[in-house]
Amino acid sequence: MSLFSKENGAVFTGPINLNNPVAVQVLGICSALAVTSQLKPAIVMGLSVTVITAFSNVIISLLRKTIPNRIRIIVQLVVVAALVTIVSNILKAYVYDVSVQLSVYVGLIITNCILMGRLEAFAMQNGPWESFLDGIGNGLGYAFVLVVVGFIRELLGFGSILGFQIIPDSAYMDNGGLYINNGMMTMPAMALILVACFIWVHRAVNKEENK
Amino acid sequence: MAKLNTNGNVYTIVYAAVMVIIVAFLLAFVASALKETQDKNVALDTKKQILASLNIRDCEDADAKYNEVITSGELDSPTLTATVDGQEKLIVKVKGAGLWGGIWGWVSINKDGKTVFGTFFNHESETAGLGARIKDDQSFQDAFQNKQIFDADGNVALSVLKKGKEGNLGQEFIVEAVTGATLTSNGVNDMIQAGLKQHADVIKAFAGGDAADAEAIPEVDEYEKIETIDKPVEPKVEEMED
Repeated sequence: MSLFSKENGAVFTGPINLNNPVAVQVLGICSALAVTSQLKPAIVMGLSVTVITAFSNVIISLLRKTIPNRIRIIVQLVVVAALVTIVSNILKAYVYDVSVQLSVYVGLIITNCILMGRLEAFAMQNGPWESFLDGIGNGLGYAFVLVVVGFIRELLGFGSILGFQIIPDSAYMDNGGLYINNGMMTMPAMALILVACFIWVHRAVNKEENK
Repeated sequence: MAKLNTNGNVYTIVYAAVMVIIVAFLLAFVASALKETQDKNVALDTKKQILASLNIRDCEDADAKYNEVITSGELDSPTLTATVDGQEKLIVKVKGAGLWGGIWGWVSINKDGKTVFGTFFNHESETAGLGARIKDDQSFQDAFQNKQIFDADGNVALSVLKKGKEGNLGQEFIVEAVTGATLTSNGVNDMIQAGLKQHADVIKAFAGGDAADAEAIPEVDEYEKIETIDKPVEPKVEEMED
């Protein structure tokens, strides 16, 4: 089977849209709530999850024929935890600024349901290359939802995008304007509502395919 | 090759043991190989944080600038002295508890021993976009500049308060809390009040005489005293940041 066959293409693009891990599989919701109050952590989290899902998928896929069935979840967990620890150590040594920003999120990656879900559902049955594509695809699908939610929350909650003020200062109530930031947007509950709206739109657009 | 029985007890135990040993060695190797670089980064970052409390941010060579500005004290000293633009400053390290984890920072004080020159705050795990703004939002730190520390009776009056909670306290003592992060802001408030109270003697000595007096107070004891201020952190789950 060639590296870029149609099947492999579907493995890669599926999770980005039709089989999106957040919108369709409803995985990784907890971290989607925690890191999306602003856009930047959402992007960084999305990319880190993409990298770690891809590589843990590859490792588990390579080991899949040797893993004893009864302790497979433990093996998966050890691989993910080791990978996350190594990545966080490397970040700390070479890109300290990024690692400081990520601090909490690196830990959160281990608990991300998407990782374990993909390892168990895909990497245990498929070859390394397909697993790699599946990991990248799922990571990007997750990152996409995070970026959409983060964008809306930061814009409406803080009036800025990536820290740059979008809504002019003069428009605010404090300065005699009419506008006020929506404090609700900064709270985790609002992320849940936005994710629900995202799922609603996604299902409405893809009605045909879901049937 | 004969197919291994991957479901046998012996195989499972050996597999688990080998896996754990390999991972343990791998992690130990990575951690020790990178430790030196990491420690350097941490030291450099601490220097940058201390410089930030002196309103020196984004400088090219933090190491050189630090050596140029800081006149006494180590990275982990409770108080340091510095000379910025020919003026002496006292830097007090403060530590406390935020909403989810530890918070700490440095408050630099003018030679008069009364007004704040600059501040920098950092945190372990405050909520990104809310409590984390004590570090990320420079305007919060800048709001401390030129605020008064002591009231007429010599007690620490500098406070971080929500709008509308000022009471009778004058504006010169008040810094507005971070919106949406009341509990973290309360943590900052308690931290600076406790830290400055702890070092009130050092601050007075600094204002009264030259920098040498400030150094005369035994640093180790002071540091241990600060540690006792740290309250155990109890995450208040039911009390989300409002």
